[in-house]
Amino acid sequence: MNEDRRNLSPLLLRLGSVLAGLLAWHYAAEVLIKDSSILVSPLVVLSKAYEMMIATGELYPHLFASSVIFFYGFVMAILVGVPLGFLMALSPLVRDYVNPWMTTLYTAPRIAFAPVLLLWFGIGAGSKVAIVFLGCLFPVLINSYYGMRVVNREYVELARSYRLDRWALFRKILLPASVPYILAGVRLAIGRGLTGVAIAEWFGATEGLGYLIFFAGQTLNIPVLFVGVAVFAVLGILGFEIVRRVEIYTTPWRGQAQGG
Amino acid sequence: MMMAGPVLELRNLNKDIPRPGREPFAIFNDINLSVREGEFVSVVGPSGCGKTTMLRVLNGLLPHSGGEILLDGKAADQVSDQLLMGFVFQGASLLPWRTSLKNVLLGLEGRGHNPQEAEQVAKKFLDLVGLNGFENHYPHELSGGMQQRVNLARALAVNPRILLMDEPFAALDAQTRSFMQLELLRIWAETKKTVIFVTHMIAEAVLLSDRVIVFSHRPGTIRSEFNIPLPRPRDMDIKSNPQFLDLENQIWKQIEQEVKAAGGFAQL
Amino acid sequence: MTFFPVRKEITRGAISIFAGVALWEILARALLENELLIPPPSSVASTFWLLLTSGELNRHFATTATEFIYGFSAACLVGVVLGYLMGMYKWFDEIMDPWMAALYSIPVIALVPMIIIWFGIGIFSKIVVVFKITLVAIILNTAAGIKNLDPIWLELAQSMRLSSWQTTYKIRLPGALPFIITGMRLGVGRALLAVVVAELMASNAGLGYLLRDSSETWDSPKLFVTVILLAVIGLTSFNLIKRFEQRMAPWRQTAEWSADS
Repeated sequence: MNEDRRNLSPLLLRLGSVLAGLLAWHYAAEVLIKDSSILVSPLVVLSKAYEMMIATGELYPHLFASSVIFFYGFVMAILVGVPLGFLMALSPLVRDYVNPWMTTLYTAPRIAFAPVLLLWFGIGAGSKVAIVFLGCLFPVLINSYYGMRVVNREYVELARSYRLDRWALFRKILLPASVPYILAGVRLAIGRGLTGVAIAEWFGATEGLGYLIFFAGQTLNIPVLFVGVAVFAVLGILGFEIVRRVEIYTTPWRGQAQGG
Repeated sequence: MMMAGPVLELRNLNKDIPRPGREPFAIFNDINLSVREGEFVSVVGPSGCGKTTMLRVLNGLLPHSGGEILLDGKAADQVSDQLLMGFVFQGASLLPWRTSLKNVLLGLEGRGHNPQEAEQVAKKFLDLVGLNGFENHYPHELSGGMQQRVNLARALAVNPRILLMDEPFAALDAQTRSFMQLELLRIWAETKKTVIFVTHMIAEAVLLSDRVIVFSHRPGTIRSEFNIPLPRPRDMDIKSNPQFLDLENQIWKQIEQEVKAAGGFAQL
Repeated sequence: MTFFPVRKEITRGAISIFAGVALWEILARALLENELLIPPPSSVASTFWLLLTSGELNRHFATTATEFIYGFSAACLVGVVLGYLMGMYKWFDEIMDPWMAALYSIPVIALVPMIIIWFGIGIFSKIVVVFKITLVAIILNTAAGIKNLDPIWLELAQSMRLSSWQTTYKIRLPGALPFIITGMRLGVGRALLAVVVAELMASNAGLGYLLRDSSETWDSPKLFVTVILLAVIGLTSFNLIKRFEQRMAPWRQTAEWSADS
């Protein structure tokens, strides 16, 4: 019974904190700042969310559009990033040639490339997918590279002593062992990918969650703005949770998923 | 040369951990021990018997559940804020962001010492443990044996009344361990500190101590005490001395019995 | 061959970049009719020189830099304090946790419109943006650092009878420092992105403004100059902090590439 009590208390604190925050928000919106172009009460946001999701369903086309772009960019990034990362880890030649580009592109703020990509690929879906792709690629690439490198060092001797050939070594040892690293990169890619979606829909989009937020921002439509942001937050949390589940499923030997 | 009374006296000391809705988990019971000034006392016993816990209780890291601790005749609680114990940890407990000199200075800082004096004291102790010239090295630049020596210097620098050592050499390889044992004998002879030394290695206990205390299995009590009348200064040759071997054997037999009584080795 | 391993890496890297730039120049010249699409490096370089000497570049750079520095430093100060409290007091950690999780999951860019609406178009709103974005990274990492202190150090503090202030100052904060600096490194990338986004959205000055201006006026060379400059800034700040990280915590094996956002 004491165990239950100990588990209840942090939960209570968290709920209490959220509730207190919401109350303060409501108070600030309704009583302190009565300007609905600056802040609206959470109740207004909720009713707007209801309206957009259930009453008119106008949220869904935007959600769908954004999801498609995210999906394409994300998957492509994994398909390119993981093998390339492995290649870099196993071949110093590849690594040295790719490295400078990787460092530069990785540390530069992605939004700087958006106008350029727009220039090249036009306003259509292509440039948007490219932005998401760029955002997702590097965490996956870098983590796959790093993971494979670490694993390679540790297990290469083990494999040699068991006389495993290179392909078996790769398949049986290196690949499973680098999965946690890859997943850590995937987790980051989700965050960056979502940001990428928002960035991509900033320029010349007519639909999508990012477009929703910016348009709402331009027209000072705060309720819609908040709904958009909330949806992003939910997607982000959902994404992390999915990756966590995948991690637990594919690497049951680890005690706990590593924090993102 | 005999002091008026013992430096440390433990009377009916016990420690247990309360468990809600169940009997408290007894760690050690009825510890009665008297330690004279300048004495080197080792404590051995089966794993989990509570000897390390007792050491940490003495150091003030844990509260005791019953009985008394007397330091120079005064109750320990009354003097708990004074730095009377020097504790040598088992593992690397050096602060990695401080050089060995600054690590040793940790206990001296903020106690009203003149900084230059404190530094001299620290240097002196580093020299004593044989690390002259390594004052500005960081822990990650030192070997395991060297780190333990800094550990020792740090504990000594605060001029403690009693030095408590918790299996300080357990993490070292056998060779380094042997060298460190000899070093400890030398340093102890020079500083004349009162030492309580917990270890698993019986030969180590017999080599270093004036007295060896044998703990029973958990809940630990003092099963027996062995005086070690071997002459000092000692070196590795004494390990072939028949009296040494005999003592070692007797102690080992007792521990063996304790382990059996606790349910066998597999239970440890 | 193993004489100067470092040199080999640098040589290959240099070759790679040089080849890239050369390829760029050739392609751009060959597709001359589409010069708007890919300005050749030579024209980019000359535009760069022009902007630099006219002082225009400096002005915008200074604006962005100011916004960044103020926001970042403020966030470090506040973040370390809050993170420390979160690390030390479980109840505070529990209270802050849902908000931290929410702030962290919302993409940088979704928060910017709100902040601009609230704080206007000027420099201050950008400072707030940088502050907010960096804050989360610093708080979370400081808290992690405090929570992950080796317990033996705290035992040591107790053993040495250090006061709680001394323990905080001599043991907790230095012990958590590697984590804090990692937090700074994570924050830098995100903050840089945020400030550019904010300027892009609504401002009259700064590199983000330059980005929008040059893309709206189809001034490709200028656009490329801005993009490259931003990339260089990103690269430099990343390397600076990594260098700093290694100097401050030489005993920690910081991974060459750590996962970060």
